[in-house]
Amino acid sequence: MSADSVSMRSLLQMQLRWPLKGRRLRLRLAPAGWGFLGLIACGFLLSINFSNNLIFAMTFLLVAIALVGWWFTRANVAGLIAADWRVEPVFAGQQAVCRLEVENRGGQDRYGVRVGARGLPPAGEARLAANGRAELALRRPAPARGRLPHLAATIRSAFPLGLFEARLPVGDLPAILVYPAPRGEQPLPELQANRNAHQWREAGSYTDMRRYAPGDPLSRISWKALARFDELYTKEFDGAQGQAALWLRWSDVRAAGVEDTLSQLCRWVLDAHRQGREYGLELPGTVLPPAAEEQHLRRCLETLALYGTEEREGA
Amino acid sequence: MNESRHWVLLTLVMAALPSFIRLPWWVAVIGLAGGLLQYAGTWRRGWYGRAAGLVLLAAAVAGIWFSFESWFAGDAVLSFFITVVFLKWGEARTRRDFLLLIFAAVILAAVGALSFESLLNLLHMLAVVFALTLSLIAIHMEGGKPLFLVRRAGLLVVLGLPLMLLLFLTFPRIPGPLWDIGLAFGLPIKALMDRTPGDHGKATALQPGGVQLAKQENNNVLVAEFEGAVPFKSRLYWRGPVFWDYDGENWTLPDDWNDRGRLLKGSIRSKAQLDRILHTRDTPVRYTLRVMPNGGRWLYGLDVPAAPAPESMISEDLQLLSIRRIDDFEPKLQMLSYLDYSAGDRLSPEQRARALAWPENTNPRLLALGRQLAGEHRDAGEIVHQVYTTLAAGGYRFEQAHIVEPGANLLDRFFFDEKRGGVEYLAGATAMLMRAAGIPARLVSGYRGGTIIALTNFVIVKQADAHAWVEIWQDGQGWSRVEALDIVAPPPEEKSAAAKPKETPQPATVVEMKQEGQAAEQPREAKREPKAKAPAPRPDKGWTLPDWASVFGSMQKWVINYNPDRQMELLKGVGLPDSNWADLLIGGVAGVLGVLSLYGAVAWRRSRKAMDRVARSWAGFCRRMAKQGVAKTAQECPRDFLARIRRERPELTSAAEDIVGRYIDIRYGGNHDPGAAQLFRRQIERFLSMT
Repeated sequence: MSADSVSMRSLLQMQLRWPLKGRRLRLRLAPAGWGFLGLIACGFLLSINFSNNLIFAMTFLLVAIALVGWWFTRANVAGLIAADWRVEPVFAGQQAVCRLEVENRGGQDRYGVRVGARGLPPAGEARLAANGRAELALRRPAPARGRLPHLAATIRSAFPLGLFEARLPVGDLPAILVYPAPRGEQPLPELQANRNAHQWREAGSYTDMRRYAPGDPLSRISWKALARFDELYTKEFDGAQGQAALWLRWSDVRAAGVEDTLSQLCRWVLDAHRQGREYGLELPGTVLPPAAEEQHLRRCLETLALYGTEEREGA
Repeated sequence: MNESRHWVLLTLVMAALPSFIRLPWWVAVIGLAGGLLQYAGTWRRGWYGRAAGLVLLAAAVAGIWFSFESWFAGDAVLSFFITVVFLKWGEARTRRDFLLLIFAAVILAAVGALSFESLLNLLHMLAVVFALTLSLIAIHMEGGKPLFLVRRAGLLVVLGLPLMLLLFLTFPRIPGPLWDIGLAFGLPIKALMDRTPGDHGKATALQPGGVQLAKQENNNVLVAEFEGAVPFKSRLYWRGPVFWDYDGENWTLPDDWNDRGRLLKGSIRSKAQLDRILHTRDTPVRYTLRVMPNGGRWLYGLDVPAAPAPESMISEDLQLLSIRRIDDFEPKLQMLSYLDYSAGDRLSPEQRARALAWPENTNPRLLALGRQLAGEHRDAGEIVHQVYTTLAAGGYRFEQAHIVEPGANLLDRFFFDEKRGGVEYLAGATAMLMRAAGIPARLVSGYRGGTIIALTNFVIVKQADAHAWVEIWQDGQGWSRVEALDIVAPPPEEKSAAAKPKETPQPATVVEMKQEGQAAEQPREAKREPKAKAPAPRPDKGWTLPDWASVFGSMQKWVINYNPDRQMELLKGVGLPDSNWADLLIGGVAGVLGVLSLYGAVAWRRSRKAMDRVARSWAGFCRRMAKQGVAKTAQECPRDFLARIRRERPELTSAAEDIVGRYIDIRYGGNHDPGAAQLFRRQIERFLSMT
């Protein structure tokens, strides 16, 4: 009883959600469809002009096939369920790959399904098996640093005839962060910072003990504590002095324009990170103190990507 | 793209096959050579590949030059089209190229259907459309397997067939060349047609074969818009020149036929004058007449005009004539005509002599037959009946294209030896037979029938409707029409798209003639029947096979001759007697939507079935558990539900554990195996039967 009502309610919601959110499946004529329409018009003219029943029959068969094809195209996309978009930031000049997992809960296979958005090159087609799921990818070119805006996206398919294209709106493509393209010949500026990097991972003097968290190195586990409390504890140390931290400064870059300067800084950030060094970033108006984590790298790159854009947006 | 090109080739070859067989052999050779270039790979894209294409094209042009009389003959254009399409296939690489090609293939098949019309051609068309569907799917799908493509295309075509049938039956038909429609709605006739010097009606002599010549022209003569329903086509006689004089070979007009003074003198200018002449008149018809400039005076009024219109007169032979020559203007007249009439006040002795004149020493056999008839029968009506009987029973055939060898005793040879020929022989022989029997007769030329533009009251008369008929004089009744053609080749069944037959009493003479005509037809039918049955005998095989040849034959006739009249008949059969084209259209659209939603419903059910069976069984299990005292709440997950069952009804635990476990596995564990779902449902059924 209750299961029945639940499934009925969810079905009702599914039916209601479509028109309300403007997420309705739409079909439009593909270019081949316009050609087919022209063909049908030609057939009509020929058949009427010569009062030829055979050509009438042929023309009507073409119309009938287009109508059945319309229905098939519709059924091929209807009821697909999409998850959220996943996308990684990219460097300028690269293509952002937006991924969308689509689930086919219907009992029929779906063919030639792809994702698309206005102004983007067509993506590859995928086949969705019955009750299966597949990841569809859409490449979005990122020509310049900054933030690519939201973009309405749809699941599309022209299967089987290619005369109609069904479009099922899914969530918008997310805004994509585009880092400056790493460019520039200048080597890393050496030893500009006043202090050295701090490497927490290295041993030093014992500072504290905390509960074990997955990922902690086995060598740090306190086996004595395990023996006593039957629980895992991790020992912590104050770290070691590593290589000297770097200051990556705007003023140190010898480049012509803002973009080239940012590209050089981006290059430095990546190099410094690859070398595992601690570095700080100093831009006019923004200073990021030296650090070495993944998160720091992202923060630095984001700062570079968005440098100047806020003011521009503000103005 | 690489796999799909073979499907495109298949479509092309299939579409061009009938044309290949019909056209000169070089078309197929050049076409296939051009097609082979597709397989030449990169070689094709070099200059030599392009040169090869050009050479083939030049060869096609040369072939057309040598094989056809004119560059623009239908077959020449078709040959060129085919070679160009195949050369294009040779160089096609992109999706758009291939799409263009398969669309061209369909046009090619359609043009091929213009030259043959048979059921075989319909099957060919179906095959081409199937290939088109297949190619469309292949072009738009990467790496489709052949079997998959064939099944998909087959499904599309099979599902499309009912829709096609529906549309075919209900789509309102507009017959005739499309430019006729423009004509009907006010485009000037001469803007559409060149003036032809050899207007049939303007000729001063009617020669053997003349009507056939006129019929080959497809030019328009006049357009008439009727007020109210259009009468039956077979009753529309557009009266042109009237011939009295026969010289043994040709019917001629007198030398002064075009003399304006003589015409005016003899003309009937007032309605009162006309009324005196018309003895009986019935079935009035009002129409607007527009005549194409023909360089003469003929206005081709519908037989018989009731009153002259402005700028026109009615000659003593009851023709509608223009006072001015119709050179470069298009007369437009409001007319009233009587379809049934007999007219004529009196016949002057000289007119009687002309209408009975027999050229010396010609056609002796016809003369003898006429005299014999005159000896056997007194009454003119009986003689006419006798002539009809002779025509009906004598095995005459109407063949417009057949030309009787010109020379002496032409009509004798036609009437007694060849027994087939065009309407001018038939009418001429009838007229002369009447004269031989002592009945004054004359020949009238003009047009009969026309093309009704569907859904309108317009009739377009073309040169192809040229006709000749006979009028005989009976004292006290005047001139009345004798139509020999309807006896030899009965007119198509009298039906008209817009007409409701008028129940008006017809003049006695006409009624009499018609009945005689029908009576005379019957013996002919009876005589023909055994002939038709002759090739039928078959060995009896215990159970009789349906005669496929006859089934296909009648289906073929039915499909190819389907027309607006049959459409209306069909609707009447369904129980909608008064339907018009709007009803047809609405019915067709409703039918198409109905079929489409039926398809949708079936597809929906099929896609739901696999999913919902599990849910339905699960709901059944939950209901039974509720009866057992453990009702599942909406927010309870299956595992918690199972835990509650274990606590509250421990005796059901083992069964419930199995079911809930399977349910979780199917619904949440990603087990899409249909076997698992089936087992799950069986377990629930067992559970339900146990508790």
